Amino acid sequence: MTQRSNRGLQSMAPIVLVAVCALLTTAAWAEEVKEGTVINAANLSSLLDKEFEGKTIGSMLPENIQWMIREQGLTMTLRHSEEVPVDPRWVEATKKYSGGVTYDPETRLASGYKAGLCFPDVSMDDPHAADKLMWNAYYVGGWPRGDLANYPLFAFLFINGDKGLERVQHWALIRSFYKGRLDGEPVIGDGSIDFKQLLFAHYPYDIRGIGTFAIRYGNGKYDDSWAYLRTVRRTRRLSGGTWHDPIGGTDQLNDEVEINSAFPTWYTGFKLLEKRWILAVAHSRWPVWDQDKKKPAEAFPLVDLENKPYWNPLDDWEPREVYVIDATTPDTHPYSRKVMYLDTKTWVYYLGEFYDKKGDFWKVGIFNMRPIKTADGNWGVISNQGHTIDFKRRHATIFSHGKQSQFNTLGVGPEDVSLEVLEAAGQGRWRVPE
Amino acid sequence: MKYGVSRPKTLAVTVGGLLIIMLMILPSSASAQIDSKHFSLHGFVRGHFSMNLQDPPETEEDDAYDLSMVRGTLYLEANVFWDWGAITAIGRADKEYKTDYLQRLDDLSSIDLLGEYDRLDMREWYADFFIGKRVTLRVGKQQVVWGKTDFFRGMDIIHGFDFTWRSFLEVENEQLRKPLILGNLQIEIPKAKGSLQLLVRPGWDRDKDIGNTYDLFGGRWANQPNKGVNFLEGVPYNWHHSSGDTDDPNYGFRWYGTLGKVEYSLAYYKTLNLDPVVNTIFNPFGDPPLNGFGEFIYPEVDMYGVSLNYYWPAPDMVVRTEISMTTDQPYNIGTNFFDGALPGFGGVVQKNTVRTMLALDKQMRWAQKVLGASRPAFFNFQLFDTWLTDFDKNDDIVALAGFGAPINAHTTILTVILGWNYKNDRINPTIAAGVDATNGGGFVIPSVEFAWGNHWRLRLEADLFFNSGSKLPGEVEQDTYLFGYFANNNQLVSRLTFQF
Repeated sequence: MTQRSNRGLQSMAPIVLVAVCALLTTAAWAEEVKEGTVINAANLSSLLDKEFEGKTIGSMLPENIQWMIREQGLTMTLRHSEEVPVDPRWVEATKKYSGGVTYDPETRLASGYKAGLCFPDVSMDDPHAADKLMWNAYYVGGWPRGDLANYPLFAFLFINGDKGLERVQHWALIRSFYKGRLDGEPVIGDGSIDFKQLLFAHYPYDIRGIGTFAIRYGNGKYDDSWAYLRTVRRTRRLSGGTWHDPIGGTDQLNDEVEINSAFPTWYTGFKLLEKRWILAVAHSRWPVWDQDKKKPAEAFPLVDLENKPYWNPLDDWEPREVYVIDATTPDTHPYSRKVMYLDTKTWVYYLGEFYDKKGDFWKVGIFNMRPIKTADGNWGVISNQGHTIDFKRRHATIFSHGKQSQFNTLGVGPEDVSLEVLEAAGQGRWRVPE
Repeated sequence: MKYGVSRPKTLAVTVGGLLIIMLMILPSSASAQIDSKHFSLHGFVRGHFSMNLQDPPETEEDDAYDLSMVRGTLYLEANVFWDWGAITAIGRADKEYKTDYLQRLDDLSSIDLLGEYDRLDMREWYADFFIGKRVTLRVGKQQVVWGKTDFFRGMDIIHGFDFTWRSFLEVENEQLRKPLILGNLQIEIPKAKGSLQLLVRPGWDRDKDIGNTYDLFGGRWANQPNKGVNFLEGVPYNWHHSSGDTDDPNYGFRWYGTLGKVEYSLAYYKTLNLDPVVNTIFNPFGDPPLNGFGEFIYPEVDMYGVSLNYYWPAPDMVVRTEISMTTDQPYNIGTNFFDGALPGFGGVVQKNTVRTMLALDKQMRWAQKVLGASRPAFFNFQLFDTWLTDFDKNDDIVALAGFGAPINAHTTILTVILGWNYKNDRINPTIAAGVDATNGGGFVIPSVEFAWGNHWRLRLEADLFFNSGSKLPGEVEQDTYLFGYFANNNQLVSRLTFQF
């Protein structure tokens, strides 16, 4: 009897096992969140332990982002992750030139850079990993930003967290990379210049033509920069120490073009905190600024202008693997530290958390990325829209690209980014290209 | 030959021009507030209000706290683009209300003051031709600015300024500068890290567009004690004198480039002296005055200039300098001419004059802590020196005709500007101040500008002057210099703008 019973149990084991597996499988499917799910304050707690693409939602939301969802109205629409196309010339350039790049722990400088990625194999155990990753992120010419990042018309939205949209300004930013180029010679000139940049306003009328021209050097010296003052119709040289001052009246620092734009050694140091997955916007929606629409909420469909606090992105978020790097600032910098989330494959920043001198969380930078076909038929990654939010002052500045933004504009070369062009723009001798 | 203050050649032409621009552009841009592919239309409607804080002694009444200016302005700028170039037209219409104070000055003067203040003017109209990527030819009535000096001018002598309605105090000096008809060729030469600008004024301008225009008719910005006194009745302009004729061409060039870390420019310009001098029958300078007594003339001069600026990393500061020499600049002589009744009417001498500017610009981070500013404040310190190189005290040169104070070999003026911002640049205070280190006196101009949304701007300003000497009506004196001319001219000003 006993034997029969045992045999009976033994004969039932596969059935039980199948049943348990089936139950477990069913349970696992039940825990997987569907694409299109919108994470918000109401459902966040219930979603934290559920998975998306095999990772729990909670593990992909940094603490400050969870706070923004709970307290600041941030919502996230989930989308499945997708590979970001890479320019094959960049891969080739990395193979060809990365061996010639050296890192000096004394000066923290990377030298010998020409094109591609500086340091393709950075070990998490490398004591200088953070610096090397920052150099990878700094030299982004060629790919993902193109030889020329040409944003001839983008909007700055000024948002009061209690009252909504205050102002809209129209600006242009054109950055010509002198290193890392993938079309022709990788380096222009003697290698002393990293890039040149024009940044100037189109609208409203009182700031029209006002702007700056800057030269970034490869040795860590502060930029040479000039401003054009339209009302007195002349250029004026600026002090180079303005790299961590706000852009005009915005909440965004000059250093925060693309979340981090400073020369790496201007920061006192970097720490690599971890490598992890976060939810980020890597395939942002389009259009980001519909210039034919008059109503702000329709003109800027990726900004939640109709719900408090009026500054949140409305976009699709997907799992991305990132390095988390903690930057220590110099004394003159308004922040005490800056934590940045850097994509391990595309070398763009999705998120920056900025802390005041007391160490309290102060501001956040959320940048929404999108792969873009460049004007010369290659691939790049553009920051579709960037949110810089100041929680202390409950104010935000958001930039949104116009349809004209592109990389590697045909017929536009490094010589088109100059002081003379800034003056021409200020004097109305420059126009937004079609 | 035409004397006196010239009018727009025809009002109809100006009105017509403005209407044509608006008709050309408005239909397609009425709903557009942004630049589009082919055109843009911008501008503003503005109201200026100023109030005396002191009592100018020229009138019998107490003028303190009376309105000195109620002025409305419509300003339109239209740009039309093509692949080959662009056309720009800028028109400005000004209309003033005659306040009680202006009425009193009007009663004293022989001129209709509102006739001087009301304007309807095509200020600028020009075409740009893009010749390849590096060459631009701009032809038409325009503004060209050289040099790097604030408040004063060394190399920036292509245009005169209209100081009649707001003196030097309008913060956007493009509104005071008098545009000229110019051919302006700019050639970028990237390999030489610079650009060459060739400039010619063919001599087709209206006479009144040449040189600085001061309030010589007795209005609110006439030098004390000349409010209510129309000098032009007895001493008119002669724009076609043998020493300088507005119909003659002016020309010059500027090379503007960078050399290492230094930005520099080199310039030469042949032009008419910016400030008029008095040519009198007592000691004529070239041809005697046409009216047999005296006239204001603008003799021809040559200007050679160089400017340099450098970012000095250690103190995080920009150092700027500008040095110009104006050869044979004319000056009036006779500090005690006619027993002091007609100072400066003793003739004209010419002196090579060197103007030197040295300035420091710095971002002041302490403003964020001390003033609570939202970003570092802008600070500027400037020294501006005027040096008559072959100065001879025996020449008996006056600082300004009509005043008996002798000029010095050097006149040095120091100025500072501190500007900071609150609330994302929606509240922007500035303090500008200056002192005449040679002759005494100075000014302080505190102001604040408020920005509401994209359209509304409000500026509040106080113009406060300090002088060490001044001239009262009928007085014979020899101690009145620059800031003495502004005695009893303290003002409060508000300016409301709707821009579009």
